[in-house]
Amino acid sequence: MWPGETVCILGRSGSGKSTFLRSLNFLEDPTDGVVEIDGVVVAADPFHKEGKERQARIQELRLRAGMVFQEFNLFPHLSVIENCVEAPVHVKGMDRKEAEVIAEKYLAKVGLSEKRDEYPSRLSGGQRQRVAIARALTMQPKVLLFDEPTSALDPTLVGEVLKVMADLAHEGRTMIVVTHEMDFAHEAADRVYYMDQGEFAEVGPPEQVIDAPKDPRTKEFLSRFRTLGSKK
Amino acid sequence: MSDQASLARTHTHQLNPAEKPGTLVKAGAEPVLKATSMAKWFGENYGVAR
Repeated sequence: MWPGETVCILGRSGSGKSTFLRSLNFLEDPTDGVVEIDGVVVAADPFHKEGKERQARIQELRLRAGMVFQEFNLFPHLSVIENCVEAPVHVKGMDRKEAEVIAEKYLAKVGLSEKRDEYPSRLSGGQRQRVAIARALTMQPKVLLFDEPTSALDPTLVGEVLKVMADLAHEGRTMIVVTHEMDFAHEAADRVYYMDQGEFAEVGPPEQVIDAPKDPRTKEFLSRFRTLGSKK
Repeated sequence: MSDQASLARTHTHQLNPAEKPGTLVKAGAEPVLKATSMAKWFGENYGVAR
């Protein structure tokens, strides 16, 4: 993918979407293949032959690929601002004041400046996920990876997270989003990949893959959304 | 040559014809992320009805 793009990965549960996404930053160990992000190349190592040098490159890769998880994964004992600056300070070695300035910028972007000193337990699910997005942005990654970021949310809270993500997409952040949110994919994605049984069954712009799918597996999956009264 | 370097050289990245730069991509920009020949083996139990 190119810088400035938003790519959505669709598919039924168990199709391999999250496994693929997590393989991109080696949270899952792929059996085969090569990942390159911003010039850092890491290949699969199924027999664990490689040592520290590969681990160092995986760390470099992860610095370039920020991850937003379904379950937020915030540190409950740290405030919002502390959650945001933890990784920049301890992983990137950034000065704490500098990290706070960057974190405050991104907390403002996700609309949570006034929550900087709150603890996650005092936030709604939507607010927690927006903090998780601000935390990922504070690392200033080249690519943001979203793993079903709204799936754990109360339906009334999904919109506020999708709006933040859509804003990021429209300002040219490079994002890969695993999602079931068809309207978001249709509106924000440059390209959509439909995944089935661990393979990409169909690739194309959302107007093709979502509105006029060619692959029978994509058609069958999307017909369920239409049956349930979704817009697309 | 390490196994990693060797693997990286033997996996040639090929674009799907549907993969074209998006609307906000600057002219002449190079891809920032390439995933080539990715596979994950889960063993015999994956995808088999039990």
